Amino acid sequence: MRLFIVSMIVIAFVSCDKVIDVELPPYEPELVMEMYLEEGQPLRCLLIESLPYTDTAINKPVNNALVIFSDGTKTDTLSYMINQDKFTGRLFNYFHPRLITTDSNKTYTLTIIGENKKISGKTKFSQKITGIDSLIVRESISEADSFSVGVIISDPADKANYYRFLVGKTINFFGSDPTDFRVSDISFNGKKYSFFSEADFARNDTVTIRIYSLLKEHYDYLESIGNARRSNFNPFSQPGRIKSTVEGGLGIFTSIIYTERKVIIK
Amino acid sequence: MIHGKFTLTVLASIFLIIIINDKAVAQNNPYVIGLKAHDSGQPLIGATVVSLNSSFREISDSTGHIKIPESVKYKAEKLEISMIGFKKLAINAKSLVRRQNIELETDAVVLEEVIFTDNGVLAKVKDIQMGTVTITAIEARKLPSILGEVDIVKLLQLKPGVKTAGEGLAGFYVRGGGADQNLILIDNAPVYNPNHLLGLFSIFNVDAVHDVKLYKGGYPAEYSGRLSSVLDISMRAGSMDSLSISGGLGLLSSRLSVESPIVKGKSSIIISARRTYFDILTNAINRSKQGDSSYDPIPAYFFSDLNLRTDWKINKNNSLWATGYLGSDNFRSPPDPESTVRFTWGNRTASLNWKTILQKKAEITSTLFYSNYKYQLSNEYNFNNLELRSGISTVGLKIVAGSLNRTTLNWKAGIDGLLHKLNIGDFKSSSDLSGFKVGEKANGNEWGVFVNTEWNPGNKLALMGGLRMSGFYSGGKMNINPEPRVSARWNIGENSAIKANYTRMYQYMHLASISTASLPTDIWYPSTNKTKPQYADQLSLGWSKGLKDNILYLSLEGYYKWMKNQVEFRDGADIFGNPKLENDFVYGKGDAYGVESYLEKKKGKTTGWLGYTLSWATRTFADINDGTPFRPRYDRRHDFSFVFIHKFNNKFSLSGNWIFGSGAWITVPLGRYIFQDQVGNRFERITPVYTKRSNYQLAPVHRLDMSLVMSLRTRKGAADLTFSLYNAYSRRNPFYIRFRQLNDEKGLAASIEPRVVSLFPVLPAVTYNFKF
Repeated sequence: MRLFIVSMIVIAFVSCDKVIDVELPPYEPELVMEMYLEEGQPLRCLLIESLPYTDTAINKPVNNALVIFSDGTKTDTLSYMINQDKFTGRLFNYFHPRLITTDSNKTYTLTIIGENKKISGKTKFSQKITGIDSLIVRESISEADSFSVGVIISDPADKANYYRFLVGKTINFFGSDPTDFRVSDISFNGKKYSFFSEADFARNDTVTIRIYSLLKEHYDYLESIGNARRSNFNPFSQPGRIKSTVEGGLGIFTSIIYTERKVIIK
Repeated sequence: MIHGKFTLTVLASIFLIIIINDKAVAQNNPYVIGLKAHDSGQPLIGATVVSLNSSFREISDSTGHIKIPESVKYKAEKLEISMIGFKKLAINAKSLVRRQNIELETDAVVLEEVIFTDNGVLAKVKDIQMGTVTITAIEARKLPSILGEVDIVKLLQLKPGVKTAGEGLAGFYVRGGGADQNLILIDNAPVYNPNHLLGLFSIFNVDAVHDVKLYKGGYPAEYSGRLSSVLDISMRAGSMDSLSISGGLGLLSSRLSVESPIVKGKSSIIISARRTYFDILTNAINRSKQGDSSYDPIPAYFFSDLNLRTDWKINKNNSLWATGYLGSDNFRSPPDPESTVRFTWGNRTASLNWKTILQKKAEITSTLFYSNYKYQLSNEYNFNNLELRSGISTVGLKIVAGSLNRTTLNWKAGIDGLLHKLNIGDFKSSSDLSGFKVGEKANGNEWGVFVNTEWNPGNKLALMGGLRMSGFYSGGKMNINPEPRVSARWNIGENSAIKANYTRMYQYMHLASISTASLPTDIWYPSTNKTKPQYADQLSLGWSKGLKDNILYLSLEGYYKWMKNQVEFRDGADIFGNPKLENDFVYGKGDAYGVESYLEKKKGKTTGWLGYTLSWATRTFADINDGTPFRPRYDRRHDFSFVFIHKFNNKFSLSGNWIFGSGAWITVPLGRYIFQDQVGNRFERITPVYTKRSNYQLAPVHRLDMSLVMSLRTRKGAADLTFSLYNAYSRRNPFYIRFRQLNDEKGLAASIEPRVVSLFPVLPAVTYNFKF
């Protein structure tokens, strides 16, 4: 659909654009957080403040906040400490060495007070892993020695499921460019589903396929971000708000689980 | 339910009584005039006869006939017969005989006309029906257009109360209502998507259209099903006397029409076709660039229309005519073995109309019609085939009976029924490894029974009352609703009148759209248990006056419209592959009010009009914008238009229009932040934060368009060359704002640069039109 709209605009419109001064309505910055709970990983949180859209600064970390995490039985306060996830390359500015253990019976909460604002969220490990049935490697129709990797899953019919597929030689988002695709099972509930990556791979490449089983709130957050970005280029779109999983600000506080396989292209 | 049956019975009884026993309104033996063009002998549809001594006014029917009551003859009233493109003719009613033909002479060579509407000033002043606009195909040809593509619907946007979603777009919004709230009819068959190419062009080929009439709410009880307006399009009848070929060559498309008698004087046929050249040009460019690896091929796109109308005069009391429309848009991505996108959409309509006169007292028009709109989007990508289909088909029957003569009491009554069949978002994914299919199918039965009466007790007062009982059945749910209409007119002196109108309207079919403009992927959805019928109440008050010996027509109309059960998608709704679309609907209300002023010069070498509208439109949804009212994109506070045509002589005429409008309301991001969980470098892209809907107003729009028509005489017929200049002073009217991210030398986001996008700079065009 996007290709169609862009093409129509190119064909139909003798368009032109120019830089203008835009005086946007006033904007009240909000606290923005990003925190993922993952089995065996320490507690890490990024806390920043959103900026007016045309501000000259790019990022505004918040370094003097009180960040309190609880699993219902034990409460920890994260300390200000710049740290980086070595695998994903993500940066965080609050840290606690406590390692997360997955417990689907627990409700995890986070409360942050900073810049005279309060932001809070809660999450659970309520999603279940959907396994990979099989992997398929296919050579590109148009380009010799270029390969796509396909994956087949069997979607459980008992509840709504939300998936994120990452396929790449590395999938750590740290300067790499894996295929990243999200889908809900609203269209294929209880059926088999197949997905193919771009034909980005060559012989002897080792390709990683990771499938996240997302919480609905996490899926909605990612979708709303995608919609917000696309709205910038589509004059006919009706932009929507970011669907944050936290209250009092913006951002994501969620648990993540996934399954992963590797395949070597022969 | 019992209440509904009772009401139906009463209305049906009234209907039958009126038809069978018409004593209250009948006039014996009206005088029937057949109006024809002097040159071609073609019946003149929509010609007006106005009495200069009384309030009598009548318009010729689809066979060119017009009925004059005996009283008008006996009073020896002076009648004026007028029709765009023809010289006015004045006759004394005393000279009338029972049945006669009257021929009007062409005012100039073909396509030469400078009169703006087919109604005289006095007739418009005294017309009790408020908020109507009529534009003829001849008028449309005279006025400027984008790249010479004459679009009769776009001209409506130059009239007060009618707005566009964006510059150059053909979609129209009437008195604060949505695009889906306009009922569009081609010879009584509904049209579900009136646009080509994202709304840049309407589907109406000007060669096939006779005229369009727009009711801006407050429309008669014979119309129903939409909240905001009725656009009634009459197709042109073919000549019953001689073969004729006409057409035009333009920069974007070509048109060809062939009309001919089948049995001379009895029956005729006209076929009109239009096709664009985009795909031929882009394919040629793509071929010339073959082998250039840096070149991205351009997708192929074209649209086409085919119109047909055939007429048959069975006898003096019966006539038949059938019309058909077939249109399609076709898009295909450049050839690529790994990914091919095809997108087709289009309308098909057909109607069979039978008009009969019963005992010279009543006239009955019966119409059987069919309409279909569907789209199909397919994408073959990475070993997966995706296909999305959606559409609506309607079969209907409408029977309207009315008094034959316009006297003290006039009436119209009828019934209609429509069977809708909907295919809602049929989504299919298939590969050799897996596959699934989702979608909804629905049916809806819509019907109505109506009666409309107009009472003219004297020269001062006129009253019009109507009631329509409408119903809709779908998914086990029956809705029955009354739709009353009341109008009044009071003449002040000879050439001035005040008018008032109240109307309630129901709409049972909803257009689900996630965009701010009309797109082909918008989906029609029926009323259900959850999705209630939309309804609106409109109150309007007006004053009109003829000035300067009725050379000028002045009108002022105010309105307030309350709209309930409005439907929108929630933010971030899934419309593709959604097995139950209405789960993503949210419901709210709308309000619209404003004042429209209009001054038109109807006679002389220079004609034209000035229009100004001051209006407000808001929508309120509990689940959108925190429940606070927001402005739709088409809410424009000020809307001004100036249109003129100057006829230098029989060879040259110059026309132009200048428009000014308040800027459109759009939604822009106010904040932003970095989000790391994304592909690529985490600081490459930023996340825009949208807060309130419609939080930014674009700069005002203004534009001047000009057109010069040079008429040419040829041996076998007539032709013209039309030179047009769209946006003559190349005003960069803002269409939307996009924000470009500027990166530093390391590829990291450094700043945001707002850029305003304009669509059309100055666009000159030449079109050659001919008729042999």
